[in-house]
Amino acid sequence: MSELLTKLPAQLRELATDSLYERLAYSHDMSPVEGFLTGDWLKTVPDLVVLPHSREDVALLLAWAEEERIPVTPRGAGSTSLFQSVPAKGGVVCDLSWLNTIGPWDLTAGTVRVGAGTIIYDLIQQAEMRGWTLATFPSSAPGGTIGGWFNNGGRGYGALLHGNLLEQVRGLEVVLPGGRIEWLTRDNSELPIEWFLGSEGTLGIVTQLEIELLRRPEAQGHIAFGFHDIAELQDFLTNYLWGPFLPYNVTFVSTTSGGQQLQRINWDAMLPSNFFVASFFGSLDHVELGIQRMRAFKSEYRVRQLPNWQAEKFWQDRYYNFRLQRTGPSLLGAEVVVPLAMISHYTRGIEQLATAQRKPMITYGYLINRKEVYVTTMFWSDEARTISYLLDLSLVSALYNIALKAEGKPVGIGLWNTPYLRHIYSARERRAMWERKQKLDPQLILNPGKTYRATKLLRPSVFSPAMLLTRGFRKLITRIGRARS
Amino acid sequence: MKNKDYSFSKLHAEAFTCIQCGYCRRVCPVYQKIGRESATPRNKVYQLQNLLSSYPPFANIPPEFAERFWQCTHCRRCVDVCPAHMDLMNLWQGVKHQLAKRGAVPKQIMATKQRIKEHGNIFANPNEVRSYWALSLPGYPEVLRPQDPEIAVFVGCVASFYPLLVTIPLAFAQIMLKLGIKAYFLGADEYCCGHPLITAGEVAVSREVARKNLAKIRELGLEKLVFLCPSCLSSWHEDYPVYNQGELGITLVHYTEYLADLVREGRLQFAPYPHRTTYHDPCDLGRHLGIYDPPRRILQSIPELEFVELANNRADSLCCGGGASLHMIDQELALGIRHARLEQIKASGVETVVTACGECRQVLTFGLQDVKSAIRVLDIAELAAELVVN
Repeated sequence: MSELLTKLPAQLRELATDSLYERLAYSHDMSPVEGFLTGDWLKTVPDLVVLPHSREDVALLLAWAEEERIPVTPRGAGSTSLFQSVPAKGGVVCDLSWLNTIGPWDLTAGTVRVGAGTIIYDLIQQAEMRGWTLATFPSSAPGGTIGGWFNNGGRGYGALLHGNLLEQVRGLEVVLPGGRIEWLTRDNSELPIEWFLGSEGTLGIVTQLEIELLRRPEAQGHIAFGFHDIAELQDFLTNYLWGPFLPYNVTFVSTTSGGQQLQRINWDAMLPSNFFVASFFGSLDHVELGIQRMRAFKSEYRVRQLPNWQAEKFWQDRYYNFRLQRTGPSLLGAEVVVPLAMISHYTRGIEQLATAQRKPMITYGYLINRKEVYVTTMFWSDEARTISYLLDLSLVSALYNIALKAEGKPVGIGLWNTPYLRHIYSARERRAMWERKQKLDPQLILNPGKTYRATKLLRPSVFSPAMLLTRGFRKLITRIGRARS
Repeated sequence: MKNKDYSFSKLHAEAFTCIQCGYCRRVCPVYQKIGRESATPRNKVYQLQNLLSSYPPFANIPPEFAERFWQCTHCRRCVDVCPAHMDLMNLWQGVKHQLAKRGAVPKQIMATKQRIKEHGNIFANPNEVRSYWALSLPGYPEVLRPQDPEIAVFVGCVASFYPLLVTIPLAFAQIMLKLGIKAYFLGADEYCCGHPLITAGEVAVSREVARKNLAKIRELGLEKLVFLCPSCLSSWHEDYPVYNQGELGITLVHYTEYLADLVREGRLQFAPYPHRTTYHDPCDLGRHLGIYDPPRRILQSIPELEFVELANNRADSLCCGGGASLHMIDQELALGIRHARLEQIKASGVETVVTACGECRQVLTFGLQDVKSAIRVLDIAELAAELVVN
């Protein structure tokens, strides 16, 4: 038994493990990061893992951690890719998976209390059995937890019509550093719920949420259109979205340079390079009128309506964007929010990069409001080929630069996006964030080493030139390779 | 990964397809019971990636690695939810193959291997007594070996030897006799199908028994083989063609498919069974072979039977805990997995639960007995034999 485990309060000891094998499972997330990249300057393997069964367990842990000055990193499903839930400085990982109770339900008001470790898909299933559903949900619902999703901004399908998760959160139970348990409501001005949205577990550990549900829609309908040019797609959506009958969701795909790779996952070869799928939920009338209006709208554009089955199939596969991985071996990419008005600018930038670096890429995303698109761009690499993989990593920063030029910004901070902090938040926002952090966690116990400032190696003054150089080197190698072939 | 290629390069290619999304966490019965991230399929793959990246691969196997890999029921739920469509069944078998090569294999699996090698069955019984379940049948043993049979029947080790389950082949034989269908029971000519070894990645011995079984069927000139055990059918269907390096040229069906066809043709009819009844989908029959409807069609053809589905059914069905010899390797874990399914059965308010797998039948019978439930557990063959009116 490690010394730290012996120091842990007795009540927590049986919920904890110091086994190296167990701890290794918490030293990574979805991002394929080579060990030597994190080796010396980070301590990603926690010293202990604790799996609390109640908010009281969490409170006890945070009280002890503050007293002992031990870092605590909260973790949901670990299904992010910026090391949001991977320790940077060792300490304790607090795995919230077993805070997964669903209920009690208030089916009159349409609300439910749900443990932070609940898998989102489980909540959707339970709600639908009762005639309700979640107003918005992420594409990773079968893997992600509701608490993890909230801590990472709560964006998802349906946000176009219903706003992000914050709009549906009626109450939030959070354990603050030191162990104080708070129940926050929408009218709490001293500790606003908003502070915790997207805070990546740095201000407190969210243990329960009260969610406002949506009546399970009577009908749903999907319609898809293919475009020759992404600019036309952008124009179509921009103009359409300001009228009535706002869709529940709009997803778009631009496969231009990555189309060939997609054949390996039985991607429908009949799908055009640029297309979107609009989904209407609601009463039968609403769905029908929405689809009719969109169909009528198309007459003003050079656009091809895709068969209904293609639109429906695309919606059915809404949780399976990761099937792209099958085209691997490894996928790298970036998640950004880009103004809808700049989406063609963004995708053209991607195409230019793909051509210059001879690297096929695919871009897809969905609208999170009338003006903004949550975009993911992915490209293929092979983490087993270390040198080329490292060179490929530099392209991620190029993707971010393209997004920044298109007035967009990276999504999430964690560790790996700290070089972009000043682009993600204004100076005023960063100041406000830091003040909150100091107010709630003055000892910097919760999830330290991330989110608020970049470590030495990730400071923009070091990181940006390094990435630029690597990219240049990669381009050179690619050219030499091309010339030889 | 095909052709049982468990080489490092093949394992590497498949393992590095994992994106660590964690969709498998939600459905894995082992993780649900153990509750530690190390027990999730994704973490097994992550640790495998580490072992494959070291040089030489698999040089230093942490004991926990082997332990976690053997704690698996092969229920296939992880395969169905994997967005990267990983061939996880083959991957699990491949890892076990590598573990077995290095001696990191539970002694219970070793003992099973030995029994199959020496006796041709998992119980170390003389293989000649495989048909003793039929001793009470009038005309035994000739009645099991008719001239010009319509079908051949592969019973499998569990229902051939296990006292609680010998009623399954007996019931099927009684139905065939009642309907006047000539069914040829392989009996002593049948060897273990190799399934317990296939799930354990033991290629050599399983290939050996597969060859023996195939040779016997060809020698007898039988074209249609009906299986009473879904695990055996799964091996014949998925693995034997690999060993055979090509299609077998034999029609392979599960007995529920065969009986459902007889029901459709009007040859098989039942007396009323006025009881609320549910069906437990066995993993090997459902997720592995995609056979969901035939058992339901049989049940729904029984007059007055009130059929209800369990909360998790068909592809979403829960494992009973009996797969991949887990009850031998880690009984406590198997019982824990069983508990979740028993709770669903009890909550459904049924009087009878039927299934179509000897292993599931046994697990559910003992489970419901343990909790002193009055719910009756039957195999579909048993219920059909009880009600057949032709």
